[in-house]
Amino acid sequence: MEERLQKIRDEALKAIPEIKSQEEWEALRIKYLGRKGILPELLKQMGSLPAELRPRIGQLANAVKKEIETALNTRQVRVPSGRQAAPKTDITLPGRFIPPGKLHPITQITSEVCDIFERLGFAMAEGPDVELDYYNFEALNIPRDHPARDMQDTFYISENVLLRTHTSPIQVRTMERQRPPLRIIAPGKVYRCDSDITHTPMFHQVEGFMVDKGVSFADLKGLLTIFVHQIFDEQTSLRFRPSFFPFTEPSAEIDILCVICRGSGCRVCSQTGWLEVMGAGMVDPEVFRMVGYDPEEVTGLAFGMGIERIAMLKYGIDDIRLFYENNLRFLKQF
Amino acid sequence: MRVTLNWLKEFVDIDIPVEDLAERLTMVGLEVENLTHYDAGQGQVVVGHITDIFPHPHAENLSLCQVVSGKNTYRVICGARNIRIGDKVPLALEGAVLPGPLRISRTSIKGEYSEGMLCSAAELGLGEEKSGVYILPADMESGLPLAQALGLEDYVLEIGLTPNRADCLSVLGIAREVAAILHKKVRYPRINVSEKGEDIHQAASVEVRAVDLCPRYAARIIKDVTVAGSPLWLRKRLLAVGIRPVNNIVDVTNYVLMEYGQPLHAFDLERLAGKRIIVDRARNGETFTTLDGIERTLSENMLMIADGEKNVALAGIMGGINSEITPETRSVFIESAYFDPISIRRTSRRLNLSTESSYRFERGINMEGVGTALDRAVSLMAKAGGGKILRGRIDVYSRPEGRKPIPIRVGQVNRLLGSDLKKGEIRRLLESIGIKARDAGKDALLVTAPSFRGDLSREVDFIEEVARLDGYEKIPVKLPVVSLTTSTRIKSQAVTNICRSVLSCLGFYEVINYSFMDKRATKLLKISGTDERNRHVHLLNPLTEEQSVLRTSLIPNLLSTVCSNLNKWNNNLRLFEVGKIFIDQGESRQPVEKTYLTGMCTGLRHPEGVHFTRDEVDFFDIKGGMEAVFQALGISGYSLDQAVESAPYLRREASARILLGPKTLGFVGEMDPSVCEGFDVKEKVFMFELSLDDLVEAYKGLKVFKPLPRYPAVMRDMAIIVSESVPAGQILHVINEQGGDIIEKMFIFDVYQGGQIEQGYKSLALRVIYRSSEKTLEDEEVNAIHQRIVNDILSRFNGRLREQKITELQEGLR
Repeated sequence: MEERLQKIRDEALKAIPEIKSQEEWEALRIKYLGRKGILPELLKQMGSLPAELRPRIGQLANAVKKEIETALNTRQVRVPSGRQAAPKTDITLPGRFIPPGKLHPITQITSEVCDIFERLGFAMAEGPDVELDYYNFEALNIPRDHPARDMQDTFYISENVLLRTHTSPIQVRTMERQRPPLRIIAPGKVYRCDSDITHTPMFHQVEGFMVDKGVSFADLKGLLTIFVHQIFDEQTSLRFRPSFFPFTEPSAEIDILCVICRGSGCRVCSQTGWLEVMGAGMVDPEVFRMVGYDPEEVTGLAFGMGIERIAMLKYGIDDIRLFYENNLRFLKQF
Repeated sequence: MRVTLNWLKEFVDIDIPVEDLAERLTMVGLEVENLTHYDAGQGQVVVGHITDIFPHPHAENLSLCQVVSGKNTYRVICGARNIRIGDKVPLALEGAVLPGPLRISRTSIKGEYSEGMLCSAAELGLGEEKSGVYILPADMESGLPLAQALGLEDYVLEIGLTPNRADCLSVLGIAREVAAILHKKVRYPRINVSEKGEDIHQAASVEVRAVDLCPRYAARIIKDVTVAGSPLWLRKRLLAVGIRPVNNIVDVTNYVLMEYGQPLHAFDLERLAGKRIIVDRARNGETFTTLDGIERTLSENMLMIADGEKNVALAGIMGGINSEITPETRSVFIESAYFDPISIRRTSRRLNLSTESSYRFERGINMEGVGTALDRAVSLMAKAGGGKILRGRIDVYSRPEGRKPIPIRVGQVNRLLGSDLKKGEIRRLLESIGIKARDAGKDALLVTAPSFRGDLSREVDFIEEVARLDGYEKIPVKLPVVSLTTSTRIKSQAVTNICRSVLSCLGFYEVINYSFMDKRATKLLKISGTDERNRHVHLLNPLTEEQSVLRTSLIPNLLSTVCSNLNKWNNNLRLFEVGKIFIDQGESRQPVEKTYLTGMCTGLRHPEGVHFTRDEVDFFDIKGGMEAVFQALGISGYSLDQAVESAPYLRREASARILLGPKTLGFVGEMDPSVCEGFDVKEKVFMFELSLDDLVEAYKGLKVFKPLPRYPAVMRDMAIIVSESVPAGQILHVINEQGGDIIEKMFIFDVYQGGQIEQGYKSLALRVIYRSSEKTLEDEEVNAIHQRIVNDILSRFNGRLREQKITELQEGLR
């Protein structure tokens, strides 16, 4: 019995280093250690041994079994693993997620603009899309039969009710409700009856204004310089050019250095090197009188811009109508 | 407003390049929108000398000309009859671009080649004559560019004027600005009126009856004129600024209109009955045929020029055919007047007739300049058309009160501008544009604007002049120094932002549609007559029928967006819009504006690819979007019911009304396929619509901490078979009612029909998680509650147990 065990041990330990494949390894394991393997079969015969031999032989048999197991296990490490190794993940396959949607570029630019002014302490305000003539025109120093009404083609609902042509009525409505000091930023949809490659009958504006003691045109220049630098970049220079709006005086148009050609002249800026982006000015005393403010006591600055215009310049969009076609291929880009 | 550089130079010395001039004008508020080099044919039109002419061998009407220009000789085919050997003619060579535009290239006509074209006056844009070649003076040097030879070379500045600058609607007006910029003086035209013969008051009379609408009416008469074409210099100028030359009389009125900004009108004196003029309001309903041949119906308050028998002009807007200048005209009555801006504007609007004259009158012309412009006109007419100017001029003038000087405070100038200007500088700037200024104490000036600046009447108007003339670029850049104030965020903005972000995270794209819609849209949605969504707000002047009313629902435009995307092969769509709808409140009132949040989806549920199955979206995808919105806003306690009468555009079997308490917040479900078809959509579309205003009201934004669980949860499942008509939600409701606080959570994890389940029934598997915040629940305790709940459900819904699978789950203390 002892010899047989020794022989089994020697054979096994000789065969194990020769293993070349997983199959051979498995075959050897079954041969020696399997349920019907050599060692278990031998151990079954233990019962027929004399009682005094049993402990010693048993010990030896266990030692041999352990030795073979250890040898097999050690060998196993070195055998190139096949089936039993974990499958490798193809990390080049796409990840699994529901692609998020996007907000409309107009929404994105509007909040970008409003955020800049909110950080400067401006509060948001809103107003109705369908306005009274009074708020859209009269209170803004644009009387009936004034040529300034030609500056905007108005959609009328009735003689006195119209679709607001700008967000400026919010100025008047806010000033009627609140006393200075005021710092307001007011986004909204506006309407003009015009439709071509550069005009849509509906578009978006953001209006900002500030009323306080001693607000000056120099302050207006400072605020809008900060704004242009934040919404475009620090390299974007701007210029203030005299203009006319009935509700501000002095009035200005703000041009930025063309974002496409940086001033050398291109198609986008009609070779001028400049792009008009905003209108602004000091609140006209007439507007203050309409809302019961004393123009000797307070002064105000106001500005307004078209969101589509800003978005087109920022993203290089060349047709304003794309904003309202809502083609998914367009919306996905922002 | 178009002016040419040469014309400006007549009145002011310009010693800077034209590009710089344009820039400087722009920076004082006269925006030069376009600067074009005007040189007739871009240098490729030259003076040619015809040295030989012989007939075209294959075309009777054409001749072959040999034309020498400078050192070169060209062969040109010409069809005109008025050419002779020795003539000097305009020759357009290959590459020339004539107004039209007509590009000249080498061609071949009936087998003979031609290297250019001999041009008529019309082809060169120099006149109306198109029948013959424009024969040039014989002493012109052959080979010279025509523009140079004719002195045509010029720059045209197109200036976009703001409505307040009526004074710049003339070459002289712009010259005044140029002079101020360049620190020069304006040279006004020297006017020389040599009067002859009888006094004008014997030859004609003027009576102004509507003095309020016509405070000044002046006139002169020229007799024995010869109506003919104008001299080249005059035609050239008019063409350069975009006015078509007509004849010497009319051309002069237009010339002076451009030069002084004073609209003039020339009548044929012989055609004025009684040789008199009456300025009065029209009679309602009478008709008048204007120069353009259109018969117009008049109304009172329209100011007319009449001769006592008939109307002869629509004052300030357009003359009549019955008194226009004709080639036979011998005596001309020239009107120079000031008409009330508002009256002219109203009439012009009413008749939809806007002219160079009406444009100026409605912006206000210089009342003091009426006489000067008249004198300038007759002196030019006498020069261009001969004739004699009668003695004197008619001038019916109810002069308004003189303008009072206005005080300008130096402190106020600097307060408003944030600048640090001295009184002397302010004075110099104002005086540079003709404002009279004198000292009024230490820190103030008294100023008076010239009569042509009707827009300057308040201190702030003058401050603006100071700012623009000094240059906005000189005003410092500062930041306001203010006291802090607080403000509250608008709640609707916060709610809108939450909705936007949750929906975009779920794969929904935001769209923005027009606030307009087709008024037939609600009919397509099957919305009944009494529904408020049929109370449309109509535009008086819509651009198109499809945009004729304001939308009363976001659905129609969203469906159109779905359609247009499907047509472009964007097939899997999840879209939403936040926008206003408008409900009419009757004549002359603002409509009610309500904000809605509407979502739509169609196509595949998941992105195509390796990880997902190709399932199409269904009701639960859109319901999920809606539920996510409620969850993100922390609004609970809403419910659904199937009473969807007010959403007839949804398929009844797969749609629901969303309620919060008794209030309808909106609808969710599958669009009725026949409604979709109305919008050319054949795919299944699911949508939800929620009143954002109501969501805002329900939104509390409150977040309250609940202690984390300290005791383990116990889980029990049940599988029951009930009639398929029993809504699962009702069973959950009962469980909730019965279990109370001890139930932490419950959900349905399986719905099954078919197989061993008999027809008309369904199997529902539910899981209930019990947990107490006070103690560890004992099995017996939970079993008892669970059993009671199960029994209650079985009896209420007439169900039976499928198998009782009780799993126990003990969660350890965390």
